[in-house]
Amino acid sequence: MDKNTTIASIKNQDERVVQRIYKEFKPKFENWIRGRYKISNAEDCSEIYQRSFTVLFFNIKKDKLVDLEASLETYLYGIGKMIIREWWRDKSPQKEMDSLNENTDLENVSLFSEVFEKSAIDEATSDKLIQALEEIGEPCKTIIKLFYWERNSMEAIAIKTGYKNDASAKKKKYLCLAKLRELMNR
Amino acid sequence: MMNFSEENIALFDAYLRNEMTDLEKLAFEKKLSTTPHFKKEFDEFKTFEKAIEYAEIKSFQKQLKTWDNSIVHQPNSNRPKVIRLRIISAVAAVAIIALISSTFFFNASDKESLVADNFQPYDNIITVRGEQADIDMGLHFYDLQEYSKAIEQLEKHPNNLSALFYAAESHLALKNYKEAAEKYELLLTQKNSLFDEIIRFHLGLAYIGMDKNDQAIEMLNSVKGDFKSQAAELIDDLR
Repeated sequence: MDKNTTIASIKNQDERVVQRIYKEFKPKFENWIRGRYKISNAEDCSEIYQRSFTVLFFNIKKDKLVDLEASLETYLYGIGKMIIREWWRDKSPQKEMDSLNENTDLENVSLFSEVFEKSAIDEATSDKLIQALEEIGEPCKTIIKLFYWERNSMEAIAIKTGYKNDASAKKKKYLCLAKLRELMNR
Repeated sequence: MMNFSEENIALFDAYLRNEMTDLEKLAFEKKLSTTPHFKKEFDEFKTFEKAIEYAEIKSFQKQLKTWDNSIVHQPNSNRPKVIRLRIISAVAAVAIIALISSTFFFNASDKESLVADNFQPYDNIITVRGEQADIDMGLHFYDLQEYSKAIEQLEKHPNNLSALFYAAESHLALKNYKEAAEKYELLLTQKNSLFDEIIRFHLGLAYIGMDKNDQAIEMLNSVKGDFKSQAAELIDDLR
């Protein structure tokens, strides 16, 4: 599968492709962290890889890799450098690592922080919300996902979910938000 | 706790999506600056929306963890090939978690989600047993949620209405929508009052699974009794 096809499949959230890429890149990436940055703890390596892969996935989903010249793997390593820098700052603020001051030639990588900007939401709220989303049922789950996750317009949502117009779909969205809030507050 | 009121959701949404007229916007902003409670509700709504957006990232990371667990729990081929119960349980647990997360983050078929969200296999209420060993065995498997085995036994008695009903339920549990529908349709011709409401409701679900939404709506409209309100909600969802 060539790079553009892979990117298109990831953008379409093709689970098999995302999982294959995730598992394929993982061993080499974690070896690279261990060798280059001397991070030996397996859980730390795994966490850094997960965060890096998450940024890769969401940058593809948000169309930020349209004109990517490097390979996906190279781009992932660029993200990895940024994540390690942040991770190290959080874990050991005093520690200086010369190798972390290297510049990356991938400008898009600097956008990585956007993926985690919502982290001001506390874990308990986040867990409750995920639980509520799992319980809310259809069509609310789809409407909420299409609006907040897929950034669809209400017109597009009305077409995809069979509502007669955007006003009907919007009315349903409000009911769904009220139901979601109720499930969270239980 | 999210304490914004339901009545204000439309208002907050219109403001945040820039769908207000200049006059409405001015009035909204004035209320924000003069009514602390309103401002507090608005801030909570914004946090709520951010939490929904952030849930996407969290769900994705949860999915990655299940994939990691599946790597960790793959049996090592260099070890003696003795499969311990503990390993099987761990792999099964991971598989279940993966399935739940997967259907949540990655898009499941909408019709399947709709059916799954509304389907609960009907309790086994057959208390008098002993007439037919196959039926007893079928219901035993049904209770264990071993639906394929249940079907195998129950279908040996196509003229027994209880066997037919629980075979239909088993098919629906296995997403065999067509087979389930055929059995429910047959049951409806028998005027089986004992299961009538649930047959109509579940036949509606089977039609949804078969992409026959018009027939589903017609059937759900005929549901009475305990399932009537659930059927009405489902019809609303289909439209």
